[in-house]
Amino acid sequence: MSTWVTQLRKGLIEFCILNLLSQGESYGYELLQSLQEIEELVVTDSTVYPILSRLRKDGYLKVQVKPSTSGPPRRYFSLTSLGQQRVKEMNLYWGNLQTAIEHLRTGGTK
Amino acid sequence: MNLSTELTKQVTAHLDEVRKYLWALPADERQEILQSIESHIYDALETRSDGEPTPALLDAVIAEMDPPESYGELPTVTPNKPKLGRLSPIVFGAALIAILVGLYLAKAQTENSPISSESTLESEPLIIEGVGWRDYLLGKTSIELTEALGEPQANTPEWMMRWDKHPYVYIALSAANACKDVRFNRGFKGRTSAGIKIGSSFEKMLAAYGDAETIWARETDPCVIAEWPGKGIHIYTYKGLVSQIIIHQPKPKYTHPFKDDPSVHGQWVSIDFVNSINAFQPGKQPQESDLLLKELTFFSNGATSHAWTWTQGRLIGQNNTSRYTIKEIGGEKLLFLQWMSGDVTLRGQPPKYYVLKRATSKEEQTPQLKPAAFEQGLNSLENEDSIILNEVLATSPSFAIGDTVTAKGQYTLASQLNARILLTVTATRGSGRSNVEKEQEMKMALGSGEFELTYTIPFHGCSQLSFRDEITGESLGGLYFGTKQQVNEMKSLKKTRSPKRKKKPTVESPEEKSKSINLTSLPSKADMGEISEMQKAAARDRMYEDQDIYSRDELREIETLYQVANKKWRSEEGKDSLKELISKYSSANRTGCALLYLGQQSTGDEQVEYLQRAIDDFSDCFYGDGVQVGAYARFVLFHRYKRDGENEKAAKLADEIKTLYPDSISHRKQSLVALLTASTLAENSSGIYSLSFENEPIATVLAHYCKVIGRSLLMSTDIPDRKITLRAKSLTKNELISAIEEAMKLQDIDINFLGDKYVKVTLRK
Repeated sequence: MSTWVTQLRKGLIEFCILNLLSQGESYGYELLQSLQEIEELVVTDSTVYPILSRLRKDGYLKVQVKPSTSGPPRRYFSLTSLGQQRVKEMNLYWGNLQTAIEHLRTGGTK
Repeated sequence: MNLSTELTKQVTAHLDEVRKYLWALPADERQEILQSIESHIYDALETRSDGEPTPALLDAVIAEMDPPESYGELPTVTPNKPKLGRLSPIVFGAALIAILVGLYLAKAQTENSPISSESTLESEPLIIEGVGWRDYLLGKTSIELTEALGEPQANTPEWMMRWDKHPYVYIALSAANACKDVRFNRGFKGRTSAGIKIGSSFEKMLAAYGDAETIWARETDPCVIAEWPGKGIHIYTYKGLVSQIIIHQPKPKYTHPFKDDPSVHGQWVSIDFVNSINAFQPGKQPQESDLLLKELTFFSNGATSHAWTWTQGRLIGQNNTSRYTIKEIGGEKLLFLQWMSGDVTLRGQPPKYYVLKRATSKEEQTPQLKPAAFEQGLNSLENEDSIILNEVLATSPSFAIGDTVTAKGQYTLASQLNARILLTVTATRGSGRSNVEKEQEMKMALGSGEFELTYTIPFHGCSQLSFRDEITGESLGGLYFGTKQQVNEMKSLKKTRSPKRKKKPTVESPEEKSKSINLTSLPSKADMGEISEMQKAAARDRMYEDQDIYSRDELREIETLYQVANKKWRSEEGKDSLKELISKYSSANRTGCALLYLGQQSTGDEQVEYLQRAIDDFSDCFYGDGVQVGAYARFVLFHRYKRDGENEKAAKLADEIKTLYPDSISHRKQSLVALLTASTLAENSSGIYSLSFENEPIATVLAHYCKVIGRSLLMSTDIPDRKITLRAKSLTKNELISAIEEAMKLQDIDINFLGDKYVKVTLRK
């Protein structure tokens, strides 16, 4: 049980981060707070921050450094055009997958 | 929110702990994650505390976060145990003898070698390139290091730190008293993450790190140094074995800017090849009769007669640099040149030396200029501008690389009030760029005159005399000349290039000719030198920021894509390369430069789009010479809008440059603000002047007043250092002059004409 849940969560976190950022730019801590509202995801800092770094490196996110009242400058993440494209593709896939699985579970046909 | 020193230390300690577990990641990712964690801590503290955060609250915040080990695993060393397996007694006996002999030889070698090759302690943590070892972390301040490692030894130089518990490890401090590099010397038993330790062979080192980005050798001892700046490590080897390991923050590949050394100019011929400089014996038969390197010519522009370039003291190859030194032996000047053969670059053996003497004396070497026959090629001059080429003198009739060319003739400048005439060469094979020397350009004013310009040809191409706009450097057309072949090559090249530039309106009358006002920089040359250095430093800082975002491989690709365009300026290949750079790297410094480049190369709406994007998203980017993208893109767009008659948009950009980028410079090290300030006196298309001085020093306004009336300024020293604002539109020239004079009266400043040439400006008593 736990292995497949872990695998599923991993992919979903990336999916959720990109969707959150499609609503506007955000910084690490804020993203983490939003993701932690989905209890089932069990998101922690050691999962999210490396993913943010990787997504930025892969060209899906861009970073803008802005001053912060709390301490060091914050790194605000936002979607690049490649990232926007990626969210669209993922959402489309997610919708189709959900429908297909629902059909499968309820015994209906596609 | 400010944390107390105590709490800041606690945060730093936590980050240091996490850093150790991130060792396997590239430096940029590691840094990015650490920044996120640090921000997280501060954000969490701010969310949960009303006033000053307490140690207990910080403990709680850190405890709620994932522990450092969640971020990765610490590096471990796998002991290399011999796999004996099942051996027959004979094989076992032979192996035992071999081991004993090996041990004996190793012992003998160790005793004779200056390098200790003690076995590695498997329990030692690894040296992480670009990061550190144990608590010896790069970037830590001397205070932080003392806190982590205790009091250092007292008997070290000020810039160095060392501790008794690790006697073979040194820290070198930067000017800011932070750990600049960590040095592991002979006696140190650890190894790097790539498996290299003191005593490892040169070959093993290259196998572990790949070809070095630069290899060089010392002249004083058999020490060969291999450097991987991008990986954050360089290694000293002594007689083919690693003798010192130095780790530092990853940085771009070193460059060697050209520094002239007139003592080496000219041709040298080889006379010997020796093991060391001291081994050379004058008058003795050469150690080798057939020398591979026969001659070497050092050109004054940094080129040589071979594939290398040179700068003072060094000959620079693709992946290595050789040192050269000139010594006077037996009354003769000899050049000793390190020879970086495969023995050096692949096996770490000390280099041998070529001994060269001058082919002829330097004076004899200088070729004489003689009249040379030339073909005249394309002429793109317009608007009654003309260049008549009367005579060409050259050191050879072939106008080849290294030849000096002098062009003499007459010019007529009709299209602008001021311009420059320039003698250059346009590359017809490959690409080429070179600095403009003072002998090859001349400033000129509206009218006719004579010119004599001299130039040394740095690359293959066709020579050209051209007029350039004094402000923008834009070509106003020119005339090609050279051998028949060079002229024809240029003709065929032109056919494949972009269409002719937009024709400028013809100047009709002397009054209208003054529409184009000479724009000069206001700060002195010395000021501009300082400002330029300051801007260059800002450029370096911005470039280093990329290291926080991109990996070494990415940075390398960014630079490669950029350099394609830099080398093939205006070519389609260059443009494609820039477009690829822009699409792949949305945050790089070079991306900003690329957009601006494309903006300068394009026309129509496309030009505005590129420039506007550079302004919107990449204003903080810089060219290496200190030109800031935000400022220069606005400057280029300013001129574009001016040309299009969109004066409001142009004025807005000019204001932005003045307020946002007061220290910005052009590629010719001129102050952009000064250039713009001068242009505030530019006339509009109907021949009417406008005035727009915004908080400008009185001296600046007076300087432009003098420019308009064509007199030189004599200003008394007691003129106050006040700033004034002066705005007016639709003025005739006389109205403009009166406006400035009235403004000066209000400042208690008297303006009096002195003879025909001067204006005397004094403070009213």
